[in-house]
Amino acid sequence: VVLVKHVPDGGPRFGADLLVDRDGDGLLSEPDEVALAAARRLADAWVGPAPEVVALTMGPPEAVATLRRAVQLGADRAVHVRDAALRGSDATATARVLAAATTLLGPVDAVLAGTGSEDAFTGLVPALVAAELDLPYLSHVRTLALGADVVVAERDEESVTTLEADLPAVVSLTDRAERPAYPTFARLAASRRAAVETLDLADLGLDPATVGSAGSRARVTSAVPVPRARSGGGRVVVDSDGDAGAELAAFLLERVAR
Amino acid sequence: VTAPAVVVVVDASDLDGARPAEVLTLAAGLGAVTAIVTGAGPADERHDDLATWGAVEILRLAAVDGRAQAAAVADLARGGARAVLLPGTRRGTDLAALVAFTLGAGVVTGATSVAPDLTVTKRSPDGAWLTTVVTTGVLVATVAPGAVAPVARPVVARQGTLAVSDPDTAQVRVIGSTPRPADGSARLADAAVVIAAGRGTGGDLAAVRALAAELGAAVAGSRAAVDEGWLPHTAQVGQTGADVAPDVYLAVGVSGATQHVAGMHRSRSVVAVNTDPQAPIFGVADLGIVGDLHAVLGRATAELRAARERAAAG
Repeated sequence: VVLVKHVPDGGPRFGADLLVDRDGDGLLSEPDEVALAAARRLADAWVGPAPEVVALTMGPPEAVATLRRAVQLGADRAVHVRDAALRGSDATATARVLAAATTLLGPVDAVLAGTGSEDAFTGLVPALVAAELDLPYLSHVRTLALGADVVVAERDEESVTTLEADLPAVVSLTDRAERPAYPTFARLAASRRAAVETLDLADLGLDPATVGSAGSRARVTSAVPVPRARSGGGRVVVDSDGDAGAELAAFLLERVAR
Repeated sequence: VTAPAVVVVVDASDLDGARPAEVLTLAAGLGAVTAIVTGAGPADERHDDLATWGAVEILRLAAVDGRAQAAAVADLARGGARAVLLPGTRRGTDLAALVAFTLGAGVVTGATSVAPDLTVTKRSPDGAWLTTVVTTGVLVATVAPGAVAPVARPVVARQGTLAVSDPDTAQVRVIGSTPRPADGSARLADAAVVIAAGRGTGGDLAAVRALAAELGAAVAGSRAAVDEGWLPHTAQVGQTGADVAPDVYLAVGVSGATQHVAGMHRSRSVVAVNTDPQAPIFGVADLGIVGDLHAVLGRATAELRAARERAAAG
């Protein structure tokens, strides 16, 4: 199972209801491309019958575009959890839903995810999904190998730490782990044919009071756009013969204590 | 021993940097702070440093596994703590998720401040929105790197060890660990000046390195520069790399994709040098220079060296 997210194009915007506006154009959150590529590679290298790669998302009706993109990038199957009651879900409620959907999909070998979504980037959801499912969590890995019943992964940090856990496990991958795939013609065609399966809260057996704004434990109480102009007024100078280098030096002398 | 009002959890590997001081400064404004140090790392005197920033109690937590750590932190927090605060590092974020799950509490990442009523202020990843967030239950939050100017509040701290109630819950085994060799440049996370090289440098980092040497700056890179192999991946700044907030961030040949801006928009000053006047990086720069990086950086380095030599000559 690969967790994917449909994110607003051009960054998040907050609506009058203090929720991220998800009605406009959106796209597959970029860090998820790495998880899809890794899942495809692992499935293709599997000894024995290749396991299915299932892209799973929770999101508004528009998120179907992201699931089609996920099929282009390697998923065999696409599952969309959508329900009006899900609106306003925080990371904990989102993880509850994704964990319930994963359980419904049947026995899984591994749950893969990017390290965070482009719109919120809390980086919390993979850890919370692992906690909900009571599965091992290997985070921020840069190499990943699956055996019959174990996963071995190298954590992407200043020291190289090699981790091992029994499968099934939840793994988040950094963008060092894999080059995102380019879709083949076969995959482009497959994405047009692919049926997107939908699930709602009743299918998952979840009480609406435990998800969405009602079931969330974190709530945005104000959201204001921050002007992009910076303290220096956002001045832009065009250099001729390195003269702007003198201006850069003056700026650095003023702002840096040496 | 009185129950802590605020629990701060830092990893021993954080103790060499500014993250613990930032989180403790924020925490000390909310009540009596107990600091927990996870993992193995620097010796006791580094633990004592935490008392400089107002921790009245410093507890060691030996458990390696995140779940065992979270269980121990949650047990302590249940004694009446209002908040559990952690640095916004990868480890800090992972542990925050597990602590919040264990407590059934809400969790917020990337806090830039926490009000006395526990309302959290944070920015969206692209820096374009300022939001306030409230949670139910104990507040569990990670603090954005560089968000808080550390304020010393020296106290005499009690020292102890936090017991692990169920050490056999480990699900993830560490089967090897090798430190990466240091490259001698300033630590990215704590550098006052960061110079980031992007695709526009074409991989020729001589001018960047010369200016960095003159300033004692850390050299970083965009994802493009790291993907090309021009810099190690530990030097990557952005959503999936390091999150930095130096006094000055100088972006050289960096276009300014959203995922890059996410890792540097809290920098106090931003300067961009790029040949493309339409590059989005100019939208977040205090000073933008459209020009050839070799000419601009070369001149700046020479000017700074001359200024330093004048100062040295008295």
